[in-house]
Amino acid sequence: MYAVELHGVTKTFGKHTAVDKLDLVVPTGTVFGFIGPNGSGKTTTLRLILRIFYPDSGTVRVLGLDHSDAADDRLGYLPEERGLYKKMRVRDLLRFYAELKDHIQCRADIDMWLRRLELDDWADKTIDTLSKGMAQKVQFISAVIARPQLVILDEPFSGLDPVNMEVLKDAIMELKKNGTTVIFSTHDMDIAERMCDHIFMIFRGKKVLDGTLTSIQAQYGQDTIRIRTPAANGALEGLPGVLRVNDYGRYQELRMEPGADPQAILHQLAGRTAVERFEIAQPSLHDIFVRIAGPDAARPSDPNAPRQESPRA
Amino acid sequence: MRKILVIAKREYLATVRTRAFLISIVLMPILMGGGIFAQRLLRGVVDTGDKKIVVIDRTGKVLPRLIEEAQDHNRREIFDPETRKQIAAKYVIEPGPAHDLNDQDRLALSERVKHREIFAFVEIPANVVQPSKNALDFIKKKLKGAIESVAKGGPGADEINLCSENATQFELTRWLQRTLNKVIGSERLKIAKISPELVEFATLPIEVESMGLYTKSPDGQIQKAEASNREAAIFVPMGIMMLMFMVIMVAAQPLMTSVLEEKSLRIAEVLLGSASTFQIMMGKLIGNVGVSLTMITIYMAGGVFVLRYYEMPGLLTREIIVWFVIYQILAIFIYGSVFVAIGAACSDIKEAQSYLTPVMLTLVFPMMVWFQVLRDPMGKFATWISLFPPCTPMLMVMRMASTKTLPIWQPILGVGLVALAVVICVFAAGRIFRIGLLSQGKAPKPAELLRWIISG
Repeated sequence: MYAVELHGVTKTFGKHTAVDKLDLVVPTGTVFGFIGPNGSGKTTTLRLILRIFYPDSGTVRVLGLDHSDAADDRLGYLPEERGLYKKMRVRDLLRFYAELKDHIQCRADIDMWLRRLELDDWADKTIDTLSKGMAQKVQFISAVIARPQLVILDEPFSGLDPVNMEVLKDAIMELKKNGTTVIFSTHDMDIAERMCDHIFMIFRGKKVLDGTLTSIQAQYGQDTIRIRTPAANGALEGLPGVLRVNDYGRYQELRMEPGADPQAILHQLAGRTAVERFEIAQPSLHDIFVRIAGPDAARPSDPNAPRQESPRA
Repeated sequence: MRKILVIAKREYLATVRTRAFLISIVLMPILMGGGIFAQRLLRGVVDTGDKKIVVIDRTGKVLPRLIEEAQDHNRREIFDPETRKQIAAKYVIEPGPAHDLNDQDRLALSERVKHREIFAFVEIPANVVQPSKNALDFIKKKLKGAIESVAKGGPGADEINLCSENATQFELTRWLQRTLNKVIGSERLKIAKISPELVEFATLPIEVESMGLYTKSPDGQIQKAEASNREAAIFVPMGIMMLMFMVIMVAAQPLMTSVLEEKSLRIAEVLLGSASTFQIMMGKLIGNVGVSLTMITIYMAGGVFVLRYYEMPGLLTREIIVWFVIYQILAIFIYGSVFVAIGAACSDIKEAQSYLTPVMLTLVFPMMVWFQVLRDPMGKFATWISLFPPCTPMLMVMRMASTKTLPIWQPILGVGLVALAVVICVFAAGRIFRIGLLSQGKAPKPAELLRWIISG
């Protein structure tokens, strides 16, 4: 059973193809992560699922319905960063969004969520008096207040400190426990790794990753070595069997050539400097993201493809 | 329908809580009630101190009469007939120097005015009883020397000079003009050997009273015409038109800013996820109809109160109020949907300005022609212009308030035409709204807007 099914979906804006023949299924009850560089088509895809946009070709099926307009009380949506009336009081605003989704008896839910996200003291303040993180939490509540079956969150964690990030993470996990399907986009690979049952990456309008973290990492195999040495970066240069060195300061990541022997590399390394840590690992999601979308990634045939946010008209 | 009402409620509260709305609501009763209050209050604060006027009378005849008249004025005209409170200044006439004045004397008198010793000085030339040159020409031509005795001694003075510090002393100037003409006129009659009493009788003025029309009451009785008040007959229709204009400005314009806000803050996307564009737009329009009704209620109540106070309740009949409300609602739909469309098409206030100008011009057009319409409310111009839908609400109601003989088919046809315009505006605005709401960046050109409307 899928909450969302996209088949062969293409959406163009003028000459720019924002989403190109995209196939995507989101299983019901999962936490589904959308990653991808800025301007790669994430928001367009989310808007296609919301049916704010209609595809030029292909089909979009959401919660079992093929054709339906954007207004759907079973969906909750958090647009990136904004989406709140500045001059409204928090409680009034939440009631407005709840009633708009036909959730009339919403008072208890509003109180519950305000308490959970530690916003009860701010219930009667207007939105423009809130800090960015608080506004982000209010926005989250407004997306889930009407108890939707499917929640779509565009960058829900941006602007949150670690404490609030934890609060929000717990809230999302609880939604999942109650059977809600959650789709969110993020630039935080760490969050995606920890939270998402399923990860989907879009790059230049095309799907480049789709699967569970384990299955994605399995595609890349154990080709990464994490080490810590007291030596300068120069000591790691020219190691046979190493494709690339990534220095994080406190540790370094080496990417092996296919078929290289990690023991040989360790041996070489030990000859050059002391080795405080040596670990053979799968590449992190971050690393995979950079491999696909970073400056070293293979350029597509069309170098003029626009990378900025899609012109939405 | 429920969603429309949810949006309408939010829109209503958002507008009613703005400062502009509160000011407009608070200001009106202040202006209306304050007008009455200020009138009463100011009656008490006029300067009632004695006004000493130096009169230099070279005729030797005018001064004693003028002193008499001033005493008469001081006895009869400066007290409120009800409260017996003094509401105007006493005039005290002081005889000036007995010789002809030179400029040195005039300067000295001016200095006395400056030092507040006297209020003003008046010079009455010796030959003032003589007709002026123009009058002599007139007499010679028309009367062929019939009153030769008057003309003896050559032409007289054209004017009498009143010198005071404050040139806007209407009251004193008016009183002096009236009194001096009376006194000098009777002197002239004496010379012409005509009895002033006879002239007074012959020239006793007749009033022309401005009355309404005779009407027939429902039970067949003929109702007599009532005296109409000219000022009120102009003021009430104009006030009604101004009220409609103001309500449109205060109630409908926030629609544009709220759509701009929803667009730039991406609230639009959330709204679209919950309601259709039609529901969103209708909710906004209905919310603003609510705002306008709130304003109308307050203002109309104020208007009725003020007219009662002036004992002219007939100028604002129930029919006019009903038509006013109908037309006001339709006007909100027309202009509201246009404002919504502008808000949706543009991404900031600056861009919106260029689209706003033609709308504003249409909106103020009735202000530019209201006087022509009111001068002849049944004329061709008034009829045609008030059937032009963008102007119909304001001008039709104004005509109805100014004449009771407007054929009923006109306001009905007007409502039909405006309703048609509402359908067209709401439809076109709906299309622009749907496309514009999600479009970012530069505002579309008018041709592009037209394409949005036509192809959807």
